[in-house]
Amino acid sequence: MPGSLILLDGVWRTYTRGHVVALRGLTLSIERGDYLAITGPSGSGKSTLLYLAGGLDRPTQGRVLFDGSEPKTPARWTALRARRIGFVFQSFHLIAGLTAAENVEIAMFGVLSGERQRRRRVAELLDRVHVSHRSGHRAAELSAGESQRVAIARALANAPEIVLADEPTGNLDSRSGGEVLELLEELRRQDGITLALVTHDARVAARAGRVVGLLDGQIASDERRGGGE
Amino acid sequence: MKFLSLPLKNLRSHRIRSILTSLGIAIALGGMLALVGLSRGIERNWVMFLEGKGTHLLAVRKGAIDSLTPALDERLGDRIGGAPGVAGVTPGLGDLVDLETGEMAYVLGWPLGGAVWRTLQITEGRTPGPDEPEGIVLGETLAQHLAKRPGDSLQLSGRDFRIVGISRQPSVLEDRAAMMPMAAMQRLLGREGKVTGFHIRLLHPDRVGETGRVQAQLAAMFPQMSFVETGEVAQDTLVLRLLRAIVWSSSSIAMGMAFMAVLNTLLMSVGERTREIGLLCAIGWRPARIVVMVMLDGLVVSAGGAALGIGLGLASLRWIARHPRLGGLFQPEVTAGLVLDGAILAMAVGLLAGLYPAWRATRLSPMDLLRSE
Repeated sequence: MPGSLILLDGVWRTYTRGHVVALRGLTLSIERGDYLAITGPSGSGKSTLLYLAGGLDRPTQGRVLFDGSEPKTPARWTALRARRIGFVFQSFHLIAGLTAAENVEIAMFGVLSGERQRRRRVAELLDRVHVSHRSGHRAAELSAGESQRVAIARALANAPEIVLADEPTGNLDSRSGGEVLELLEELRRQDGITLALVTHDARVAARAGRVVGLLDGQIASDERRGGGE
Repeated sequence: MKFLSLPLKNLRSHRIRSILTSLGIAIALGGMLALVGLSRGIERNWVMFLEGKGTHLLAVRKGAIDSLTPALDERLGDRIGGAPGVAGVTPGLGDLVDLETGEMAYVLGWPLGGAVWRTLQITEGRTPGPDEPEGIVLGETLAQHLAKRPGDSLQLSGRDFRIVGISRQPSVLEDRAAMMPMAAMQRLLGREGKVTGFHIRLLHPDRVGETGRVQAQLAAMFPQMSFVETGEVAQDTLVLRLLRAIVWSSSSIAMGMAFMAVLNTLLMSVGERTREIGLLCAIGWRPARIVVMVMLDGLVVSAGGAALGIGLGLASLRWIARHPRLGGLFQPEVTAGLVLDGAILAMAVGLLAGLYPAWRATRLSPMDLLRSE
């Protein structure tokens, strides 16, 4: 289903502390079904762009639209993140005291009310990311690759339309990184979700169908390729 | 996993800190229960003692901090007895006196042959007769504790007295006391002609407003004295009011300290969990849910503390009640209502202490939290 899912329209983001301008009037449309890689050197504004796209941060100027309308309150963005946007982070952000299964389940509180229903969904997701055998292990007992798989399952918990991934392979060795990437691509194909990931790894970017290059808070290149399908 | 199990899992990951905080609440609550239980026990025993004597009004010196102060002239009793509506007056003299064992006991003095002696339930022996001015009656608990029987002698403040009877009394105050004739008591204390107060019986105590009327009349006749209804002794006696004030102020300080302990723990917890809170924001948790989670942490800590504190309080009261040196002086009173109030107070402390850290948690920027590595 074509069309803009997230539109960053003339977005500026400045940080008064440190007088840093992270994004300078950037306009970017993330289309439905995109497999988008955002690349650029450190400090080019990649992660800021991703956080703005998911409503974790607000632009200093400009607007961010989701599915054609602008969520104007933090509460609206919170609701979107609960049901329609999934996040994956470089350092996984699993809660150490919880098991793999519980780390996935916490994303369902407030969305799926029945405990049995949640458990069934967790089992299904952990199976899809191939870590069901580790479901009862605490986060601290998982390898980096397993942790990122659990984090992906958590991002998919409520069947989002888009997954925003911030350097998802950044803390993994090349083999685990490749596996995680393959997994994301497989899930994207199966579920038809939009995938936008930030990376500074050219090999990762090369797998995407669209590569946006940032430089000094502005789009330096926006290239569509045949890959990523 | 249930949402409610999250606080337990969080507290388990900081086990020592959580246990120490719960212990702080437990000690505060246990101390409060013990102090309030003792204070109420003392009040109740006073009332039971006076009611057991058939007293409708108790007369003491106005402004006397210590209700045992022997500061009234014994002859005032005749004038009070002559007032309209008064059926009878019995002077009483009471004080804490050293026993031969080094412990202390209440000793009460009443006029020989007076009506008050007839309120004693004598289980062995008799009350002192006219020819026994140095004879004493022991409360059953005291007699058992000292292993004394009628015919034995007992040394009080270095003087020997002969035990003539043993009595069983509902008020622990009397059951662990020694009763002797007024003259002997005055000699023992070196307060000849002085009494602590007067037990006043009314002619028509059942008439509506009669007690208040006689009370007002006596207050006007004897401005240097206070006339207190038996049921209100606990409220009106200065020493008991002071005791209550001390109990509540020390309990408030203890609970205040417990509040600070929970607040500190939760603030530390929120500080350590910034990334976790950021993540919860990122996955779509509403701020209200995060507030509830942090406040539940406080509630669980305080609920644990409350359970432990109730146990501690009851155990210490039990110990006090059984202690040979204290058991007769203090008969604690703990009701289900008091325990419930204490538990509610402890949990309110936990909830309130969680408010600020919870509010702080929701004020943090999720992006800053997630980047705080």
